[in-house]
Amino acid sequence: MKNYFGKNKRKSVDVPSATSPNRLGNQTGPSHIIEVIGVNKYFGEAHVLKDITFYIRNNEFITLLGPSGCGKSTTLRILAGFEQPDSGDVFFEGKTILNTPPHQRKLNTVFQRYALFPHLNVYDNVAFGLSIQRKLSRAEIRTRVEQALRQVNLEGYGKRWVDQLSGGQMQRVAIARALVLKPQILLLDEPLGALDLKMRKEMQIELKNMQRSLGITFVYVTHDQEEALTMSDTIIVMKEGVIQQIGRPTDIYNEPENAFVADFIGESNILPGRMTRDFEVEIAGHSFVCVDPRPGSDDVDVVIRPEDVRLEAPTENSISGVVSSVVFKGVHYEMLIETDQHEWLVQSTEKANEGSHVGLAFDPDEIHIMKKSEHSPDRQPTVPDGDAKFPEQSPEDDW
Amino acid sequence: MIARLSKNIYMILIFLFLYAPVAVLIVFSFNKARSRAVWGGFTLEWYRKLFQNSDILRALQVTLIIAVVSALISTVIATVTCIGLNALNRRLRNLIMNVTYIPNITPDLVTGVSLMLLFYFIGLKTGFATLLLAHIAFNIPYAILSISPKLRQLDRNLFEAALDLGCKPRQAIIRVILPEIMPGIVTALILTFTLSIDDFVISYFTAGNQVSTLAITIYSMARKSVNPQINALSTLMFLTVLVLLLLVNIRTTRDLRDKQNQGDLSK
Repeated sequence: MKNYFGKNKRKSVDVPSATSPNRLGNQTGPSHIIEVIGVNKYFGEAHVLKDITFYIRNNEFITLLGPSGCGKSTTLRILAGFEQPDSGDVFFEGKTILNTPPHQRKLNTVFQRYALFPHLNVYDNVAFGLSIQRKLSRAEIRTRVEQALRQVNLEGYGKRWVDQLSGGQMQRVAIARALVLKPQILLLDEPLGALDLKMRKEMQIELKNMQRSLGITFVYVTHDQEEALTMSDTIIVMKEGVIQQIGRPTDIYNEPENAFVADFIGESNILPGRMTRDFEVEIAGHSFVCVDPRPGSDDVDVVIRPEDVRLEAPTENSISGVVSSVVFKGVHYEMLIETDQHEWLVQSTEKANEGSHVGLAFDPDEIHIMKKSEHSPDRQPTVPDGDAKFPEQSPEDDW
Repeated sequence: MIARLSKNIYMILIFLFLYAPVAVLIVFSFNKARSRAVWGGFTLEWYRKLFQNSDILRALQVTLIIAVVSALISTVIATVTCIGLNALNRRLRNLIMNVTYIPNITPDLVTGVSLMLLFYFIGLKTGFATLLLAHIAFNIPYAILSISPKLRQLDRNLFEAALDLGCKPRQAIIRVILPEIMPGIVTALILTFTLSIDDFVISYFTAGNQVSTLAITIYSMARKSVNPQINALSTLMFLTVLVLLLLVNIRTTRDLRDKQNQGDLSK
C-alpha cells in the first residue's frame, strides 16, 4: 500500500501550488461547503481543540486523522451539532450553524458503534428519518428505503432485526439510514473500527465508490493512516487538539510538515540533520545533495521513507551498517540496518543477509527536509504496530 | 452420602419452615370446620362468603384502584426522573440515586408514621388521597430502580442518532428512548402494583378511619374474631402477589440473559 504512494511521487512535479500545505479557511467561496474558523473547545480543564481552522470543499472526501484523544471526534461532533465550541465559528454554505440544533442541520452521521435502533427492524431503521419528516407518502418512503438498501448492497434485508446482522451489515444499515435522507454531507466517525481487516478493506473501497457516485461530501474520522491515504481527497492530521497538516494524501505522505506527521503517516526514518546551505544536508557525518532549500535554521529533521533506501556495497562515502533483522512481508522484505547513530528501516524486494555489512543509498529527491519541531525525534525509527488497531476509549468519548 | 443426605434434609427443613405457614393457611381456607385446628372436610364456602362480604369487596375495590393509580403515577414519575438523571454527570447522578435508595431500606413503620405526621402537619385529612400519595411515594424508588438499569444499558449514541435523523429532542425520547426502555417500564408497573397490594404498615398509618385496603381489612377481621374468610382472602392475595412477583423475576432474569448474550457478541 505504501509503495503506491512511494513510487511515482515527486514533489516538484505533482504538487500544484494551489494546495498549500496549510489550507486555511479565510478564502471564502461557494465551493467551500463547510468552514471552521478558530474553534476552541474545553472539557473541564482539558483544552481539546486549539484554534481549529479549516474548510471543506463541496463533494470532497476529507479525513480527520490522528491518534485517539487528538480531538478529531470532537471536531466531528461540533459539525453534527452534538457539541458547541467554546469559541470560534462554523459556517455551512456561508452561514453560521452554531445556533442550528442537530435535527435541523443538513448533514447526517454514521456513528462509531452504529447506534441502530434495536427495537426496529432494518427497514424501519432506514425509514426512521423519512417517517419523522411526515412529508412523504408510505409508497415514496418505501421506494427511497429500498433504493438506499440497494446502495449498500442490503436488498431484501428489510425484515431482519438489527441483532441478527453481522458488524459489516450493521454498518451498511447505518450508512443507508443516513444516506436515505440525501444529506449534503455525511459524517463518519471511525465507521470501520469494529470490523475485521478484510471487511474493512472492502468497505474502504465501497465507501469511496459510494462517495464518488453520490457526489456528496464525506467527512471521515479515523486513526488509521492507511485508511486515510486510501480514501481521502484531503487529509487533516491532528494531534492533541492542534492541526498538524492539511493536504492531499500524496502531499501528506511525501511532504510531511513535521516529524509527527512523517511518523504517523506510514513508516519512516526520521533523523537529525544539519543544513548550512540550500540543497545540501549533512546526515550522520555524510553530506548529501537534496532538493529542498535551507529552512532557516541549521538543525533540521530529515525523513527518508524505508522503501526509498537502496542497499549497496558499502563505500567510504556512504552511511553503512550491519543488517540486524530481516522479515519477509509478502511484497517486500523489511530490514533493520544498525549504523553508528541510528537504526534504519529499509523495505526492499531484494533480500540482504542478516549480519552482512551494507551501505545505504538514496536519491536527492527522496530526502525530505523538515523544520525542527516539538515532535522532533530523539529516538529509533518506529514501526506502526501492524493492522490490528482497535479504537481506544479516548477522553472525549467519556462524558 | 451422609453429607448429601443431611444437606437435603436441611434444605427440606428450610422450605418447610418457610412455606408451612402458607400451606396451612391455604389448606384451611378450604376447611369446612370453623376451627383453625381441626379439619372438617372440603368446602368453597369461605370463598363464596368472601365475595358476598361488602366490607371486603369495598376494600378490594380501594386496593385495586390505589394499586393501579399509584403504579401508573409512580412509574411515569420514575421514567421522567430516570431520563433526566441519565443526562446528568456521573457524580450528581450517583448522589441522587443513593438518596433514592434510602427509602427502600427505611422500615415501613418509619415511612408510615412519618408520612402520617407529614399529612397532619400540612393539614391533609387522612383518607383515600393520602393513601394514594403514600403509595406513590414509596413506589417511586422501586420504579426508578427497575428503569434506570435499562437506560444505563442504552447506547448513548441512540439519542444523538435520533436527533441526527431529524427528531426534536422530545420526539427522540418518545420514538427511540421510550421504546428501548419499555421492558423496564413494564417491570416497574408490575412491581409497584404488587408492592401496593402487598403493603399493610404504611397504608395503616395513612388511610385514616374511612378508607380500608384489603390488608387493613384482614388485620381488623383477624383481631375481632376467628373468621375462615381471612384464610380464603389471604390465600387469594398470596397467589396474586406470587404470580406478579414471578412475572417480575422472569422478566429480570430474561433481561440479564439478553445482556450477557449481547456481551458475548460484542466480544
